[in-house]
Amino acid sequence: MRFNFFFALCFVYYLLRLLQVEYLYTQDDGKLLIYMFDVGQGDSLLIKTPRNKYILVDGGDNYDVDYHVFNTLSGFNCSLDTIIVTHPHKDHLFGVNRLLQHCTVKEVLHVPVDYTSYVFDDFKRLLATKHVASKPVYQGDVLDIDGVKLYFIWPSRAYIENKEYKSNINDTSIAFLLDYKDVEALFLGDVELTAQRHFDIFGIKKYMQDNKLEFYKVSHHGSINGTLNALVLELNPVLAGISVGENNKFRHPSPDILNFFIKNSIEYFRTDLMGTLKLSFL
Amino acid sequence: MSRVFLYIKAYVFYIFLFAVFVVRIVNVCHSIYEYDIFTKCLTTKMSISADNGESYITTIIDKMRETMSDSVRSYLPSPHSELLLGVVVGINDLTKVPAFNDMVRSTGTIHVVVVSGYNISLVFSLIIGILGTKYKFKNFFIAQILALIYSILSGFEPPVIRAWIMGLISSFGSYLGRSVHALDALIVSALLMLAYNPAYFISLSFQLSFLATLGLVLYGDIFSTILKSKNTLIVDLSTTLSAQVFVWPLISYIFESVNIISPLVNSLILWTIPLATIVGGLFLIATFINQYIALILSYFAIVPLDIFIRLGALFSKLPFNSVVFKPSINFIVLYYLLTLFLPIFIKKFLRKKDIYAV
Repeated sequence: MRFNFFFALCFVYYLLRLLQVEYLYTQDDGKLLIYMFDVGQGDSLLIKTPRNKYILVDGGDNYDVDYHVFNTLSGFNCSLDTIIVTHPHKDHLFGVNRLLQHCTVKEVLHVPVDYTSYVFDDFKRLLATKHVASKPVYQGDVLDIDGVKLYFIWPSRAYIENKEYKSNINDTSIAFLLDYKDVEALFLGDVELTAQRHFDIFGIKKYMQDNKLEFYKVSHHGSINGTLNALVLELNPVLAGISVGENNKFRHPSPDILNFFIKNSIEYFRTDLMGTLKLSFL
Repeated sequence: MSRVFLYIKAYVFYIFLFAVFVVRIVNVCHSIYEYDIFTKCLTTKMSISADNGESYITTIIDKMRETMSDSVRSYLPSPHSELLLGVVVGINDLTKVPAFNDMVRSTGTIHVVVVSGYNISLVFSLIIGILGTKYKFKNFFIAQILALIYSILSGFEPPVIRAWIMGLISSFGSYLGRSVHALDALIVSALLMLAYNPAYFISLSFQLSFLATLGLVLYGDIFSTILKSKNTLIVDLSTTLSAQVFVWPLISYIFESVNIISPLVNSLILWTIPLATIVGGLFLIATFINQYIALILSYFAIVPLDIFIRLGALFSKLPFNSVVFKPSINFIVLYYLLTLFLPIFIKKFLRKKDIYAV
């Protein structure tokens, strides 16, 4: 008798899930979505292209990203087109390892830096055992997914191959500009001021159609060494996103950075106080 | 006169075990007269090593548990995988899923991630069901050994040890055709564990497991008589309330807060756990056998798991889940004295009113 109840329960469950998936699909089809997930003290963002391709940028320092992806993808199985690992620090990579365990991933973009850690070793091992294609991306590369363009502005191949970062892994973070029609978003990973000073600001602005940056992902969880004020003022962002954990031991985000945003009338969103951010364009 | 003698004989075993326990503590701690030194001694000199066989066996078990974890995670997403691993084999990896961890703490459902009496009785009845009658010694023996293996696989923590011993006593009694009072089984299992390893006395999981079972034994019938219904939710509510009777003072003393909505939330979502345990257990076994069967089963296992997670997330937003309250020692002593003897009077009262039938 319990069997009947269980099968009925499963039937009802999948019916409701199907309705949920269909509803989300109708709502979001044709739209460009950018999610900044609340994963605690770490980064994890998801880009959904108008034709439903998914690009994940980092996975946070725990497995919370898995449930976010479970609830966000339009489908019963976890299937991602691209995962971009900005740099191999645990607070960006740990969740990616979890996703690699059970998701179908078409390709992983990451930079081959000289860094040793259990998490990074697990990452490389998973790429091999799950046979996931991976390749590096460098400054100047362009990824075009259904018309959504990702312009990679950092790091340069020379910077990595010559190990100019010394031991600062943050500065090896992949930074890119997303551009789709008149929507632009800048993703900075954990790139610090030293590297940001090498950015080609005018090269970036070339792609900004309306001279307005719709979304600016603040580097390094809002720490004082992650935001180059001059760069922000030049780019004129509409919304700045800070992914940070509640009561984190680093005291991120820095109040100076927050005051800078307030003073310049730049709206900001912080995941520790406001949860997950969902931006919907067109 | 002979009746008194029989009475004493029955409890000699209890007294013996208790004496062993006291002697061992005094041996290690020497002074039991000064309370502060005594407690300090207990917490520093004695360690709960049920994992005191840090041996070959524990490394093998740990390796197996890791393999199971990786295997489950290759089929199911988080936190479903962590919930399943906790419910079926008592693996507590909740730190890796902080959002889910917060949810089970605020709803007071974290106890599901521990292997307990329910799991043991499930394995036992499953094995007996396969083997046939429980009145053959061979069947009884095999089932108990398999239950022991399961206990070891799930980490051999105090709650599951207690459950296994209680199960052993009760089922041995039933094999002999005699009924064993659950209270006796509970006391004997607790005393056996304490005599074997006095450090269990200060183990929180031992204390909670003992108190929860005590509540179930003394108050289970009372609550189910008051809340008379066959409805699973109401039955779960009476179970949760009886388990909570002796548990909440200890929890509030240690964590300095009470979760008032916990019984209600528990009764609303616990029904998913037996389903998750059974289907999850089958799925876990399948991961060792054939990946396609495991894949199919994973689609069934995820249903009760996902329902638990979603309902839990919904109810974790309710208020009063952490009311600041820390009882004094006096309150606790009085409370326990009262609640230990109250069932006698309540049962007398209910019998008089012809309501109660045991």
